[in-house]
Amino acid sequence: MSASHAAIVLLPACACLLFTGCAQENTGDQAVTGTTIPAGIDRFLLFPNPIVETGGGFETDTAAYASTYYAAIDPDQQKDTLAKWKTANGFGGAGEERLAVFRDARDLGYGRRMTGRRNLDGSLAFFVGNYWVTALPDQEYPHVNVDAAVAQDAKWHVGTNAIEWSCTPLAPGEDPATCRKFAKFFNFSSATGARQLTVDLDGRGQKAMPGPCLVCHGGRADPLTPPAPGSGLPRFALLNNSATGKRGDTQAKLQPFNADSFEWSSVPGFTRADQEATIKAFNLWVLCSYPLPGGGGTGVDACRQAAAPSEWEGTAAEMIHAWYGGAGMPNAQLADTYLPAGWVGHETLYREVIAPYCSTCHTARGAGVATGNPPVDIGQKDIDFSTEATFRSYAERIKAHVFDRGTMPLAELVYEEFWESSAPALLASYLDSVLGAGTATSSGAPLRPGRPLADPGPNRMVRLDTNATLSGADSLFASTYSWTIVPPPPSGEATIVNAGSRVATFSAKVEGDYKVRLTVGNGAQLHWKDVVLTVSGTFPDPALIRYARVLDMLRNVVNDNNRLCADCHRPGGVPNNPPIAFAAIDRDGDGAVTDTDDEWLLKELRGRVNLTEIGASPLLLRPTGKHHGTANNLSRDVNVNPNAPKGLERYSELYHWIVNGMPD
Amino acid sequence: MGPGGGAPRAAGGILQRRVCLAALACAAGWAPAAAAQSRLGDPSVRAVADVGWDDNVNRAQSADSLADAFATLTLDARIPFTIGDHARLLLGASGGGQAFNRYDGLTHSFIGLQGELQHRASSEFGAPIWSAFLRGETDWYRSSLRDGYNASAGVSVRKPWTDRILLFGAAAYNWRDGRSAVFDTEDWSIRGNLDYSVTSQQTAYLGLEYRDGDAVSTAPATLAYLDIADAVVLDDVFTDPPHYSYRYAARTGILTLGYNVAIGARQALDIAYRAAYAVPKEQPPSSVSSDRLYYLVQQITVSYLLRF
Repeated sequence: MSASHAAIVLLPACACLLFTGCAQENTGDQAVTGTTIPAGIDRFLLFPNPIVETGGGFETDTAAYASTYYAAIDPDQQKDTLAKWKTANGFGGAGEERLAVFRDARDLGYGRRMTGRRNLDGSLAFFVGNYWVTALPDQEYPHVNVDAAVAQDAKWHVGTNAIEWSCTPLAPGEDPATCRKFAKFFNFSSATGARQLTVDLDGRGQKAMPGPCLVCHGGRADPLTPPAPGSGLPRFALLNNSATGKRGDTQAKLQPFNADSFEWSSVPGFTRADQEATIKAFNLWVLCSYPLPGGGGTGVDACRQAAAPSEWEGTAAEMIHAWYGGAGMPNAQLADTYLPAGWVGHETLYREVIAPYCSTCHTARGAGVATGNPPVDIGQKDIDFSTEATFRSYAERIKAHVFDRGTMPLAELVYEEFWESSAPALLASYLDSVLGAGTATSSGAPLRPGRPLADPGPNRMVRLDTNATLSGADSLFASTYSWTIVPPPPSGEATIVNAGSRVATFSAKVEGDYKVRLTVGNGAQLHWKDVVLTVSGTFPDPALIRYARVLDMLRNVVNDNNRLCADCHRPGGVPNNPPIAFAAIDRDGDGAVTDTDDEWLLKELRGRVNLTEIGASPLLLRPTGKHHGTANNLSRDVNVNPNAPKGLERYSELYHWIVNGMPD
Repeated sequence: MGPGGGAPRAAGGILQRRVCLAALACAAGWAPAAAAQSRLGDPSVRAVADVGWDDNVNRAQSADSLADAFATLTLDARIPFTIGDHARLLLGASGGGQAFNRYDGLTHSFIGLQGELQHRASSEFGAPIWSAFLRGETDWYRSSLRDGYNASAGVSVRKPWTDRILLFGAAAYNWRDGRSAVFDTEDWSIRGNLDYSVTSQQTAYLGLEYRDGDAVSTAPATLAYLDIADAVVLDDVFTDPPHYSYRYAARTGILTLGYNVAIGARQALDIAYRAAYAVPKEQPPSSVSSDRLYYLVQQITVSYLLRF
C-alpha cells in the first residue's frame, strides 16, 4: 500500500478516534459538595403534626383535604378560576386597588407581583404572581426573580396565590349566617388560571392546599370529619374556639409586609421608593384585619374589630405600628427596628435568631390569652414568641424541632439561611442556658439534625405479666435498634421479645420499676435513651384500652386537681376555649347527639395525636412542656408531680391507646 | 471568532484523555511511516506571534462588555503528500498558547491536528482547488469550565480570479465539547475571503463569515439572557461581580479586514480588524427587554509571521 493510500485510510480512522474518543462529562456543571446545611427529616411546609393516616401518608397533604377546604370556603364554586376569584372579590370595581412588586428574601424567595384591593365593606383580597427563575445554577432564589415579576415574564411565572379576608356565605346545615371575616387561601395555575388542589412553593414537590400557606399564616391543621350525613363526604374541621363558627376558618391571618426584608427592582416605578406608599397602604389594610382585644381602637386601629373570646389578639399589630414610628404610624417609610418589650435584655437573640428565622410565622400563631398566675396558656398564645418568657417556655420543643428533627425553620430557604448563619450557635447556647449545659451543644458546637436519636417513648405504666409494646418508631435517623433492661433483672423476672427490632414487646412477672434502654445506630454513630416502665398489677391490659375508656377519662374521671378534662375542653362561646371540646354535643349537624357525634370526636382526637412524634401529641403533652392541664393531671413522672398521683396512670393509658392505633 | 466568553478548553475524564492521546499518537506515528514510502513533499513550518485588543472578550451586550489585550504564539507544521496527478493530502499539527492581560482565566494553550485533502483538476491558472478538511484541537484554559475539545469538518475552494485576486470559500460544521455544558456548542458556518495583492509584497484581504448555531455570552445575572439560554453556568473568569455564561442559539456575522506585508521571503507583518455581530435566534419578551439582544465584538490584531 502506498503512502497516499495509507493516508486515505488512516486519516479518517485517526480522526474518528480523535473526535469520538474526546467526549467528556460536563464536570464543570457539577454542584459543589461539602454543604454546611444539615439534612433533617424533610418536612418543609408541612405541619409538625401533619396527621398520619391509617394507611400511611399525611391527611393534611391529600387532595381530599384540599378539595374539602375549597368546598368549605367556596361552597358555590364561584372562585374556581383566577378570573372568577377576581370577579368575586370585586377587582376592577369600587374600592382601592394597588400593585407592588418585590422579592421576599426572607420567605419563599420568589419575585412577587402582588395586586391588592380593599373593598368598600372592608374586605381585602390579594393575588400574587410568583416568579421563580430556576436557571441560575448557584442560586436557588436569585435577585433576578424580582426582574421577572416586574416584566411579568411568563417563562418564570410558577403560579398565582391568592388570599382574601372576607365573609363566607351562609351554608345551610354547614355554617352559620354570621359574617365575621376570616382569611381564605387559594392557588391558581399560571398556565390556565384554574384553581389547584396542590402547590409546589419550594421546588420540593406538590403539597396539598392550604397547608403550605397556613404554616406561615398562623393557620391550623385539624383533621377532616368522617363522611357527613347526606353528602357522604367529609367536612372541613370546625374549631371549637373559632370566632366565626365557620368550617374553613383555620384561624389563619394575613401577613404584614416587612419592606426591609424585601429586595427591589431598579426599574423606575418598581423601586422601593416608588412603592413605599403602596407597602404602607397594604400594611394598614392588614392591620385592619387584626382583631383588637376589647375593641374601641382609634386612628389607624379604628378599623379593627374587637377580638372574640379565644381569638388571636392581633399580636403582630404592635410590630406594624413600630415599623412606622409607633402608634398612629406617622412615618412614611418602614424601618424594622422593632424589639418587643418582652425581649428587652435579649436583644441579640431576638435580632439574630427570632426576628429573621422565627417571628415571621410565629407572630401569626396562637389564640386567646394566657390567664391566671402563673399564666395558663390554654390557647397556646405563648407560641407567638412575643416575649422571651414565652420563647423560653417552648425550649424543649424548639430544641427538638431545630436541633434534633430539623423541621424548623419550616421553609427551606429560611432553614438554609439559618444553618449558614451564626444563629444556630446563638440559639443552642441559649437553650443550654435554659435546659442545661450540653442539651443543644456538643463540645461547644450546636447539635445538628441527622445524627441518630433514640426515642423509647415516655416513662409509663404497664400491666403485670402482660405484653406491652415498646416502640422505637419515633427514633430519628436510625437503622439499628436494640432494647435492653438495665441493670438486667433476675432471670425470668422481665423479658423483651424482638429486642433487635424497632418494635419490641416487654413483660414482667414482678411489680416495680424497670429501666429499659433503647440504643439506636446509624453506621458508626450510636445513641441510647432510657425509659422507666412501672409494672403494676392494677394497671389495665393495654390491649383492652378502647375509645370508650378514653371518652370516660376525658368526660367523667376526676383528675388530681378535682376537675374533669371536659371542664376546660368545653363547647365554644365562652372565653379562652381550647380548639377541641370533649362534651357530648351535636358535631355532625344532624340536630341530635348520637354515637355518630362521638365518632366525629374520635376523628378530632386523632388530630390531637402526632404519630410522627407520639410524645409531642397535644393529647399527651402541652407544647410548652408544662404537661397537660393546670395541675399536671397527665404526668409522665409521678415522682416530680407528687400532687398528681394518678397522673402517670392516666398518661400511660392514653399512651398505650395511641401506640395501639387508637382503637374504637 | 476567537475565544473570550465563548471559548472553551479541556480536562475531562482520564479515559477520554487517554483515548485522545492515543489518537494523537496514531496520527503522529503514521506520518513518518507514510513519508518513508516517498511522494512526500517538503514540510512547512510556520510561527505566528500576535498581539491584539478585544473590546468584548465576554461577548456580551455593550453595557456589560469587558475589554482585554491578548498575545498569541502559534507553531504550525504541515506535510504534503501527493496523491496522483491532481490531488494531495496535507497533514498538519499545531500548538501554541494565548495569554490575556486582565482576564487570566481566558489564557490557554492548545494543540491540534488537521488533515486536508485537496484536488485540482488542472494546473491552468484559475483552476480552483477543492478541499475537504477535518481539524481537531484540544484546549487547556485557566478557566476550568472552558477546557475541552473542538473540531471542524468541511469543504473549501480556492480560486485565483486574476493575478491579483484570490478567492476562497468554505462551509464547515463546527462543534465543541467543554467541561461545562455551556461550552458544548455546535454551529454551521460559511465564509468567503478575498485577497488582493496590492504589490508583490503586500496583500489586502477581506473576509466575511456567517455562523448559524450556538453562541456563548458571559454577563451578570440578566433576565434577558436567562430567558433565551439553553444552558447557564456560573463563570469562573469574570467573577467580580459574579457573571454567568449563557449558551443560546444565534446567528453570527464576522467581518475581517486585513493587510499583510511580506518582509523578505520568510517573514511578514499583518494587521487585521475583525468585527463579529451576533443576534440570538430567540429574543426575550419585550416586557423583559425593549432592546433587541445582540453583541458586537471588535478586535484588532497585529501579527508577525515567520516561515522556517
